[in-house]
Amino acid sequence: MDVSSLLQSSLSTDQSIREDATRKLEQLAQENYAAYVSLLNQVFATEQADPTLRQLAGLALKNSLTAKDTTRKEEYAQRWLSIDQGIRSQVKQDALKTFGSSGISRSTAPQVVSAIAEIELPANQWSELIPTLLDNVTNQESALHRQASLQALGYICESTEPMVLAVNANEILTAVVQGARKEETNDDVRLEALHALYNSLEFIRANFDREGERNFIMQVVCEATQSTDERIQLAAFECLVRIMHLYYDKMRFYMEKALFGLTVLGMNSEHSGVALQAVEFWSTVCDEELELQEEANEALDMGEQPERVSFDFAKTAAPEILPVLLWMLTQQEEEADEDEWNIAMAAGTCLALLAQTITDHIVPPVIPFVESNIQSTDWRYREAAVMAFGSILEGPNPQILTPLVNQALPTLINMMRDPDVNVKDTVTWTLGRVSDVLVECIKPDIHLPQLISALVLGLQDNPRIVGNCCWSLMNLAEQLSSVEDADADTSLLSRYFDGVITALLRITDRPDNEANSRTSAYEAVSTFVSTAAKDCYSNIEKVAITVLERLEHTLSVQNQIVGSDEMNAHYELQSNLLSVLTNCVRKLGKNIASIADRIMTVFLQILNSQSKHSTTKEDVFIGVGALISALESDFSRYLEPFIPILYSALQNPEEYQLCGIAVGLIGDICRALGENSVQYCNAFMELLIQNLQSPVLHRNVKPAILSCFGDVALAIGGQFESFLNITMMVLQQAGNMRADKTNLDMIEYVNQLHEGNVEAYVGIVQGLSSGGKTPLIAPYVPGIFTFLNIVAEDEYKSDTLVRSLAGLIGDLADALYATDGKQFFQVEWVNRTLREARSSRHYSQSTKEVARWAKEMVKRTLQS
Amino acid sequence: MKTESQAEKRKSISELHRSRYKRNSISKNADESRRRRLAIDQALRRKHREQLITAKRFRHLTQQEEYESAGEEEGDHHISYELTAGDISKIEEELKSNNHEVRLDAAKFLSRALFDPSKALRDFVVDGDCVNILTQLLTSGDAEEQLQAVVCITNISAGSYELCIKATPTIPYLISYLNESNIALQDQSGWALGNMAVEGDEIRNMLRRNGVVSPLIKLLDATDSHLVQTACFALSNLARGPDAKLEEFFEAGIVPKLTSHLINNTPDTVTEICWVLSYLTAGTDQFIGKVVEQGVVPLLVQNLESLQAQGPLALPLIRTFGNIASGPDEYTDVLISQDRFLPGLVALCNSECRPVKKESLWVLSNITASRRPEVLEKVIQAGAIPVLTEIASHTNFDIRKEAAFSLTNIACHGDKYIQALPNNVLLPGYLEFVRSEDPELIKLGLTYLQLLLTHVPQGKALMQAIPDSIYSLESVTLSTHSDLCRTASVLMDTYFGENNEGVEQDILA
Repeated sequence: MDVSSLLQSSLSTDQSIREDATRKLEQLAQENYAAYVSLLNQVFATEQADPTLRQLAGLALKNSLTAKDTTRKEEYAQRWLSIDQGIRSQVKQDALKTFGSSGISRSTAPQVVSAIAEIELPANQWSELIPTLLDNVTNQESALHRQASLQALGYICESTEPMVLAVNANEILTAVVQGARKEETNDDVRLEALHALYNSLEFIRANFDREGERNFIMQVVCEATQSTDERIQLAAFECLVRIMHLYYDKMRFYMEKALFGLTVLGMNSEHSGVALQAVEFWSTVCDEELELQEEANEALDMGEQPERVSFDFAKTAAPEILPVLLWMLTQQEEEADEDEWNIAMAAGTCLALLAQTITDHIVPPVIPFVESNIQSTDWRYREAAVMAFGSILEGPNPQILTPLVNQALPTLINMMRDPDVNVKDTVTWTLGRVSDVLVECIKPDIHLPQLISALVLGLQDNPRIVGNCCWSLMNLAEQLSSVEDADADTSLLSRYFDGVITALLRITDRPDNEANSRTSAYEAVSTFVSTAAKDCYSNIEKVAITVLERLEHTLSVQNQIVGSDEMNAHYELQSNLLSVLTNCVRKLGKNIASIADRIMTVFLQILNSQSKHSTTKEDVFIGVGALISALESDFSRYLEPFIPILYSALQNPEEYQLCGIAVGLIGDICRALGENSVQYCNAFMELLIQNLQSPVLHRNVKPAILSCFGDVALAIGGQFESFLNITMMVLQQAGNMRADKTNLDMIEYVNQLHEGNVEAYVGIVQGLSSGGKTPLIAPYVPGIFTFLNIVAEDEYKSDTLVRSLAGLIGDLADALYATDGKQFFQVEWVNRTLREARSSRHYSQSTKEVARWAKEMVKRTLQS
Repeated sequence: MKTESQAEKRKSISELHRSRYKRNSISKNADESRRRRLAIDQALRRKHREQLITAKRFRHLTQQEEYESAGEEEGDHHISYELTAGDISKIEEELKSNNHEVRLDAAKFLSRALFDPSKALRDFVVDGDCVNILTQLLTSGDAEEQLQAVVCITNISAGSYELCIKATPTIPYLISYLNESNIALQDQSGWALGNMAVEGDEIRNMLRRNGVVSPLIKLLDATDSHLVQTACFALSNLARGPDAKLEEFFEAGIVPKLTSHLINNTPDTVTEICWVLSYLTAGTDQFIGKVVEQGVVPLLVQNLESLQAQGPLALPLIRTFGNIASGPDEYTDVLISQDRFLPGLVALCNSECRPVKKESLWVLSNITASRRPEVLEKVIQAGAIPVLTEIASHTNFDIRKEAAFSLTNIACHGDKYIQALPNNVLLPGYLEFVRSEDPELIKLGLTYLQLLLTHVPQGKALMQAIPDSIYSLESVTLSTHSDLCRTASVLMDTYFGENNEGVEQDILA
């Protein structure tokens, strides 16, 4: 069957014909990609062919070149580059010729061109493409052809690395700006040019730095906001938002000359899309100014001048934009969809950002709006009033807000009974904000009883408001529990514990999770449990038993569940329950012993069930970790049934998250059992080393494996001797890893790897020394010091890495006391590293303490 | 599809803002909560590991090294690890050493460890030989060792009762050091005795029986202000409790000695003097009289202004004023006859420091409680009403309550007084009291409503102008406190019932 017929059949109404055709096409692509591409191209490029078929061929061509998944994308790129130059040239020429062809979708040919460009440009091929497209934009008579060329440019700018395109930045910019000018009479062309401009903004930084070019770009964009075509206005505003985000520092002049006026006008536009983008513009201004404030604070901390300054645009504009924002808050949709983004929502977010940016200045203009509308008969005004109030709670000085919140609290609590669900939802959110950031306004004797009963009542209300009720309760629990004393005898919330938990568990009894209400309630239960005071411990045990019963029930019905949605809901419920149970175990510690058998039975049942759901298994592993830490050596009676499961997780690197937790569990077991863990250590070490060397295992697990060597050594002390040689060898290999200084991900990863490495050395040195086998490390000391020197000189090292490093230096000094090893400390970098660690303000208190201790140990050893 | 991804990218800034709309901290989806659970799991594991490795570390430092490493940061001499029984026997040995330096270093180390004693160290004090060994140092005749031993005893007596009681055999030594000429030793001994005196009547009796009062009062003659402050600290702790035997203090001539330090002294010393005075005046009227008769009040008022800006340092002064004002009327008259007293007190009511504000309001309520017109006139002249009104209708309930007491005291005095109050401003605040859950607050609110309704012609209209006010009053008729319920019912029936419009009846009569 030829390609045309296959394409035709792939649209058949008969499912079997359709599937058969699709399969055959895939087969063809796999067997002979070059032939496949040529065949598709023939159909696509033939003007006389059936338009539907041409369209299909074009899309199939594009889909064979690019994919969302990065691995497959890379595969496709290699496949394309490996076929014959001639075929590739033919496809490229034909695609460019198809620009402006009538009959097929306008975007298909530009998409094909861009997909090829994305592969070839970074490989320094198809260098004539950009000039060709630019020539089209400048010289083509056909508007359709010009439009398609701009579209292709836009796609290319969007998908290709800015670095690759920077060499062509000048030409691209010239072509794009030319198309975006008001002199361009074809609106479709101008629109496409603005989209391309939007996508090129990031890599034309050099052009934007030059005043003349910048002025011209800004002029073109500003003029476009005045077009009569709404699509062009919208595209122009989108450009302004992005320009503000990318080039805030250059905006002072344009703000004064035009942007203030344009965007305030834009907020009042009849076209809601334009108004939305104008609000976004001001939200972006706030984003940038908040970041600048943060930078300025950091610089102040360091006693330096900030590199960039805020122009306080938001403060200047506030009197003009605030009235519009407040009005916009009243333009809510009746039944706003979760994913919707409308003017009222954008205005709410903008108001909150503005409050953070201009702080105290937001209060006087907003409060009258709140006061005059909070009791309106129209729900829109009531909701807007509460939204405005809730949005300004972060930013202004708490001393200014406190009397206002004190005054408003009784009203807000009352409004939990508002007839409108939108109002109630916003009221609950606002109460949640108060509980979060201004909890001192909630007087335990005056407001707390009413607030909690209103929230508990709200839990029985519409699922939409349940989430925010739970959030408020969580904030109260976190803020009102004693911060200094994690295990206080009692707390302000103790008397409410039982009532709140009962109400929360009642919601979670519902079969559904509408509006995330069940998950929210379980999260709230967890927070209440983990912040509870001692007088609630007996209630926590009851919570644990209830949750355990529910978990047992989910297991008993597991086999009756059909349908993937139901199955997912089932697993999510199990995750929720496991998470609460884990928190109960962590809180109760040893006191969990009386129900530990039952918990472990359920854990093992889930792990041994047929279910292959990895998240649930992860949650059980996390629960097991909590149980090990709680029971310590008493956990050993569960090891026999659990160890095989642990081993099989460690032998399955594909499920790397689970494997990572399993590595952590080895550490937990070692800490809990101490020397008694020695019987498992052969197997542990073998699996750990296998995983470390596995090319399949996700790299994020590897630093944890290194730390785990240390955990094993700490636990078994001198008996680590038999693993010493192999461990030191792999540690040295791992220590040779270096990061490319331009790759932030890699820098972070190598940091973690080094941290794991240092922790391993710490465990080994401390372990051997406690087992009286310190001399065994002597042959490895020079290697360790070489590694430490490199880590110490790394300018990107984190606080935790510095702490581990200083600690290890101290441990080594202790181990090498009165030996030849003291020469290793007579180097300048040891002294300098410790001095920096105990005096630099970058480091935490605990790092400084460790460094001070290490300094004394080094001093002692040097004097020995 | 390309077109989709382009739209996504163009929306990205909006997406960011969208995610912030009504943001809360609850996980939005299963993935997010999974990430959080994993992060918490890892963080806890890291914490456990660090605890384990850190515990092994600090133990390796000798005390001297520990001392030096901590000495790098000023003032932070605490010991950062738990002393074990093994560590303790080493210290014990060193304390008994033949070498003076070794004994001295050990005593210094012990005194620091006693700040926050470990289990083993507590056992050493409670069941072990600690105090005996320290007593040997006290008798050694070496001033340095004596001083370090007293520092240890000071820190032991700062601990719980079971520790403190163990230190009491050293009382005779400590009292004898009060008469020495070594200021450091005198000071440290006074401090140790003061710590013991806090612990309760049993130990205070012990101290008195050993004759501590007279030598402490004699220390007040010292010129060293630090020593005077320490003596005051010990004396004010001794003067506590119902059975403080204050006669002995007066017989030893404490008042003139205290008074002499009130002239031209620093706020630190004045505050300590006032603490002693506040305990001396906390008892019976007889002792308040003895203080007032000796002319202390004018000197106290002189210090009022300088202490105003000192925040909590002004507290004992205010408390002393409050004690005096709680006595017979003539004592209050002595206070208010000082021209600068009432204006100063009103200013303190506006203090930024919460306890100062609260206690000053309490003093004012003691003064207004006399309900004598000449007193009330002076209070009003001092500008109290606007200040009290502002406080009673804003700030927090506990502070508002104190201001409201004074205002009610003023209002009770008759038509002229209540009508002079800004009732339209006060009423909403008092209504909030009525709506509260605290019976004392509700009573305060009801008393005011009753006065308003019976003594202010437009009182009822004022109430009717405020939404929910009558509902608030009515809700008290459901109270479980019978007196509140009765008062509220009578007010409802009298003023807002169905039949008896305008019937006047003094329900509290």
